[in-house]
Amino acid sequence: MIDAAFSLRRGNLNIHFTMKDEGVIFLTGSNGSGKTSSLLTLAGFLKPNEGGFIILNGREISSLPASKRKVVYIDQNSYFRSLPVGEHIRIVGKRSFDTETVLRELSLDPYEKVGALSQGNRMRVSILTALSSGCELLLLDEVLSNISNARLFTQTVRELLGELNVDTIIASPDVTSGVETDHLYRMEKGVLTRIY
Amino acid sequence: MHYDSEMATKIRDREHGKDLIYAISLTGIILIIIPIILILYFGFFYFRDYGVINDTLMRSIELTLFSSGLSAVIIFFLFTPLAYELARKRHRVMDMISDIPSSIPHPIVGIAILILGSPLTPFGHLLNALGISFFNTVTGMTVALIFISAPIYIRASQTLFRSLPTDPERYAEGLGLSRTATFYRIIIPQNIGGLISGALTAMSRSLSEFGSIAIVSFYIVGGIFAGTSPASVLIWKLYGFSGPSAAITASAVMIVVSMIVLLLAKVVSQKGQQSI
Repeated sequence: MIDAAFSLRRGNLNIHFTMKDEGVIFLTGSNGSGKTSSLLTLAGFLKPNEGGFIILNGREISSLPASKRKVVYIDQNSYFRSLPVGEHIRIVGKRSFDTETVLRELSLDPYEKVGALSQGNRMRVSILTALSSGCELLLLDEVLSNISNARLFTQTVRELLGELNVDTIIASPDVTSGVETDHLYRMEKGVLTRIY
Repeated sequence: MHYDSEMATKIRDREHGKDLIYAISLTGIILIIIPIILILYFGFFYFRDYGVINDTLMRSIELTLFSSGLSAVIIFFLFTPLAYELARKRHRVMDMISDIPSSIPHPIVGIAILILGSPLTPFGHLLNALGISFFNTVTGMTVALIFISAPIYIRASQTLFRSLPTDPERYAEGLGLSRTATFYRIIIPQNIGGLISGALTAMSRSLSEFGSIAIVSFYIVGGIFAGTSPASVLIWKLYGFSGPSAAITASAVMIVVSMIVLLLAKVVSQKGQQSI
């Protein structure tokens, strides 16, 4: 469960973020609406204005550094290109799951270097690595655009997330990507609105 | 998509290299290469003082290669973290200090190193008690080369690190990896080709050093290089005592050695980029 309320200023944009939900949350909005800034704030890379809070599964994390929050932010460059897939997924390795079965289902070779994969497969590996690290909140910032059959991919991820009790926020300007989600939010000009 | 014909012409001209930028660049390259070609021609064809290519010169080149190589290895381990820190964070004072060895006359560097290793300083006392001396030793020569060549490596590596996107580092931090773990497990292995190339460039700079090592290690006493002078010092002595023909031929040999090291740096750098 993510329970957060904060505000911050980025350039000319005043961002007001309020969210209290769990599961797979879709965050849509036009480019420049404040989605990325909001996700980076949740992850600990941007500092919000004073008076806000970020509570993840009952734990107040807003004063923690990014490395201690158990929140992983993933964008299209979030991978280690020189590592083989298997080693990449195990690099932190705090949570175990059936890596072999998942890699087989996703047709990933554990010995192939991540840098040699397609962008879509790199994102799959990045997400699996994040899950393996023991994260409790996954933030996917515009990664679905490079994944073919996003519906199937998120179905696989949802099955994993369900087993692992990890919440996810998927940010994308395209609300019609066909991804099954539990909740939908829209951000426009810095203001976040819950649709369902 | 419609291509503007004027744009297409400009693109074609750029690909063929027939523009003013190319012409000026070529002029610059010619100015650099002329002295080198002159030395190679006069050394290997005009004077041809092959008698100078003897055991003394070979030992001198071995000493220079060994000390330069050792200094490059030490520079790599000592200064790669500094280059990364300067690339990622603003440290004005550290940044300025990193450049100091490049901006002071190198004989001064040599004198400073001798003072450091002398009984005048507590550090020198300690070294002497341990039987270590900087004066006319391979140790002193290597220390001087580290001091002189470190700024080149730091700047090259800093530029390399600065060019890297920070997204993977941010991702690593979110995974819970410490900055140190990310640096040694991800950043260095991923960029080892570029870093080795930078170290080889620093080594190539060390090969040509004269001012500081003429002070610190005019000739080596003791050890396997006893009685040997660094190559640049030997060439200077040959010029003074044996005349230009011997010095120029010896210089031509050293140029070939330096170019091999530079070529190696280029090959390693390109192989490193291809493996990405």
